[in-house]
Amino acid sequence: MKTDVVIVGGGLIGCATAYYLAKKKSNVIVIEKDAGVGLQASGRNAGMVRQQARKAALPLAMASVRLWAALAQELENDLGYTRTGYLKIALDEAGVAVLENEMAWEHAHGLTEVRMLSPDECRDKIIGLTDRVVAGKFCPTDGIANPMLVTPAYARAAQRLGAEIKTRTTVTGLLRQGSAVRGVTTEQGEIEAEVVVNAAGPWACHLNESIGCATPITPGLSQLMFTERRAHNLVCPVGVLGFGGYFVPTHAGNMVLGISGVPNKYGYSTRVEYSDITAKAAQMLEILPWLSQVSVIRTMSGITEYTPDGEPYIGAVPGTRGFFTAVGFHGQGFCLGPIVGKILADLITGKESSISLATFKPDRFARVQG
Amino acid sequence: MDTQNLRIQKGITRSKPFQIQVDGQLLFAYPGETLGTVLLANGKRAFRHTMLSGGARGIYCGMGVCFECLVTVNGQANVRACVTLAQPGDRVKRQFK
Amino acid sequence: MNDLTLAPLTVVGAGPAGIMAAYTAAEAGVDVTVIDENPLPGGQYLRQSPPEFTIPDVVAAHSGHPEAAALYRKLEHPRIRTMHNTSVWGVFDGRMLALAERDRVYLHKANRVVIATGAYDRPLAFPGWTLPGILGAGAVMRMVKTQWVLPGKRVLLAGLGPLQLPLADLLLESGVEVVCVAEAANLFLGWRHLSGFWGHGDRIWEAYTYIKTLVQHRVPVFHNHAIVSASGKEQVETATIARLDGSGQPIAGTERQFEVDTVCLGYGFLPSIQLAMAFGCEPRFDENLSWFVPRHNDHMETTEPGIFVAGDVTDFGGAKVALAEGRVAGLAAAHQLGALDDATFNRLVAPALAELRHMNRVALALQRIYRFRRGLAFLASDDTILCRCEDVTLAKVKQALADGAIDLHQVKLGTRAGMGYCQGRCCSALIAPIVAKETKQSISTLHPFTVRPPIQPIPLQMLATGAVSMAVE
Repeated sequence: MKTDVVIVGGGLIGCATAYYLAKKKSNVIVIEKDAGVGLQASGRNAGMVRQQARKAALPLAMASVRLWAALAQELENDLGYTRTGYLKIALDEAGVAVLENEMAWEHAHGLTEVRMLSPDECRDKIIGLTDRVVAGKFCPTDGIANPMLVTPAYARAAQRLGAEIKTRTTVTGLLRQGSAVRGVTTEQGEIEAEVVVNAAGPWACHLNESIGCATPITPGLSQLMFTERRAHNLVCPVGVLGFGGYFVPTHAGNMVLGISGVPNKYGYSTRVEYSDITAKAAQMLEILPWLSQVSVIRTMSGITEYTPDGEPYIGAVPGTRGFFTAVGFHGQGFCLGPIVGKILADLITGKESSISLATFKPDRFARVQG
Repeated sequence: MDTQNLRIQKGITRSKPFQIQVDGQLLFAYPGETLGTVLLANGKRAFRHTMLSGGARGIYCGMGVCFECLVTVNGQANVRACVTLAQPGDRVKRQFK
Repeated sequence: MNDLTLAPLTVVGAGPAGIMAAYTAAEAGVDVTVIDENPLPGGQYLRQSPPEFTIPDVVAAHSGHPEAAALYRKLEHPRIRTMHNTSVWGVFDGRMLALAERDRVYLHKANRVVIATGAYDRPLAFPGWTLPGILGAGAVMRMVKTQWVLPGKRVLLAGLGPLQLPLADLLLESGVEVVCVAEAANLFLGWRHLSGFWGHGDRIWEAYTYIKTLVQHRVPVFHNHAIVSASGKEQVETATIARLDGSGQPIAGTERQFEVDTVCLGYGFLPSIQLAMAFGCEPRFDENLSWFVPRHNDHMETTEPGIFVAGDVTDFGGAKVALAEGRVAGLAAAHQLGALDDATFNRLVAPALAELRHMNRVALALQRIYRFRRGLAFLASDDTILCRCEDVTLAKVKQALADGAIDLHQVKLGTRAGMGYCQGRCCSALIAPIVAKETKQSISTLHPFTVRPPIQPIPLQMLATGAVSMAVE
């Protein structure tokens, strides 16, 4: 089998890349080990599309949010995307300084709509918010989307443009010719390609390693509790500085109560810990006391890949030809997915990225190591 | 519907009834009865409209599995009427749109 | 409070199977903890009327079962501790059960476990089935027998199975007008299995007495018929039945419509497999049931060592089979815990297994006669709701399949079916046949929805009490 581009991994990054490539008339095959697309981290997160509180990835997030605005229309699919805004609150003076520093960074990058809110303004926005709030920071262009719909929508749009998606297929290695990557081997045979993209998150880091570009990733555990659907006052996602948890409304009327990620000692398992959910439930009632009689109806774990500096690996893998990667998103992949897919499609078709990827160089730790 | 007759009389003696309020209407309830029973005995079949489609729902499984018989009790929303005992003075609201 | 003392045997469910498992193990010298979500023991089948009701006839107070009182008393065994109003909402770290008791949650450290969680009314989706006034047969049975209230005045019974007859009988005796009984089984296909009743004359006699009542009240019984639609504004007003073809699909032109205020759906039961699944027990596809039950060996042990099942959660044989299975599970657990030596265990378990085999013969015959008919899975029209919690229609499920979903999990992600309060207990068995048909797979190859805590909804206030108990520890 032969094609222009093989994409390893049918998550959001892989399917978005496939879509933007197919739009540029490239022949694309996406290879996914699971029975469907978007079943791992892409579909297992709280669905926040936020720019606030990003570091190096802020320009990517801002560009991605511009794509998100018209994405449902472009993909001809409801994505549950709403610009609810996102409120980040501080419970002490030290936190206020953190918020102000973040805002300075955000303003400097042109995210000028971010502003500080007084405690009263915070409580006007979220009725019943704790009296302990000292200050808030709000960005009206942040929002939410339904993670379960986005990756399948990209996949279908790519397929309509001729891309092929092979599920239940596992890539076992790369086909190489000198320094050039010429395709992949799978359990079902070889696929030759001009370009290979590794977007398989933590599941295919060995491909990067096999070519001498270690992209270290360790598993994170981000537990999510889903409440029953009911009338509630959570009009936008709320993050709390130094709290280790966040609150997100969903398009369907449920709320997601998120427990911030911690290293996952069980690998990329989707377990939830009794001690974590009970302890966080108690703390969350201090932030939003009206949650007390709201029922939790489901829990799950989001899958988070941690990188040593908290930033993803994006771009052409140095020292090779025809090999790109975009992995290790450190919890930022859902928001960044659309723009990263678009940038990869540009890079692959010989166009430069409009946003600097210097911070995200795939080999930045490989060099240190050796 | 001849509603009061839905309580079976033969073979059972109930204790002294008490009153609860259902959508502002005072109804008699007997100790040991669930809220679902009190509503049903008074000919009230529809307990709520769903938030999404707005369809009417009432008791379906009668054992706490299906969560169809949700009502608001003393301000607390989404209480399963079929497994919740009626208490004197309960203020019940059916969750209609 | 935390409950981190190790319980040698934990039994979940205080119905016939659970009580017998607990009692048998206790008699063998094992300390047993019984956990039950109801205020009184008995489960669904032997459910008791509330103590506030004065019911002179003791049997009537026990859902009409003379054997019930003796069974409840078995829980008074000194080695048995029963926790009422307590439900298991999760399994953590292998054998830690998360319990919810009234308004608090805590962990219970289990060793051997007997899961006797029973079953619930099997949902059947047809146009109009979500209307108020349409109830499960088990719901109606409990309502009449334990809450002493009638579901309505004009009732249509539609279902599949031998429980329809006693229910019709009960309603008629209570003064309800039964407009008809629609029985979906094709008894002409079922007679081949009658040999299974050899030695079970009492069962045939029982059926005869029910039929006699129906005849006395001139209630029409339509065999090989199923309910196909219901209508009404805010509650059911009419119900339509139709004759079924060989595959169980309704034949156009055979419809009969009835004015009713209540429809009682008795299409059998689905096992409450959630806890077994949470333990990681492997499911087995049961052909007669056309759904999944926990797999177990002769000694009622599941694929998870030390985790047993008994009763309707795994085999639909009624209370007698449940008792026998409970006995076997209790003995096997006691044996594993060292309370019974090999010889004693073998001596005690042999008659229990023989009794079980004897009863399973008739149970299996009944399961075959009343096996779920394929056509009944396809009564819904495009706008019929399959997932009640999330208002997901057949059309939405079909759309998700057209969009590329190929299994239950992907349909769930695409439609939200199974993400609501009941965690897919109602919709999974309705959606699976649709997925199987559209994707040309056998249902048996599909996997039921993944079970995650909480197995049942827990208010945050209550969840938060778990943090307090961890701190105390």
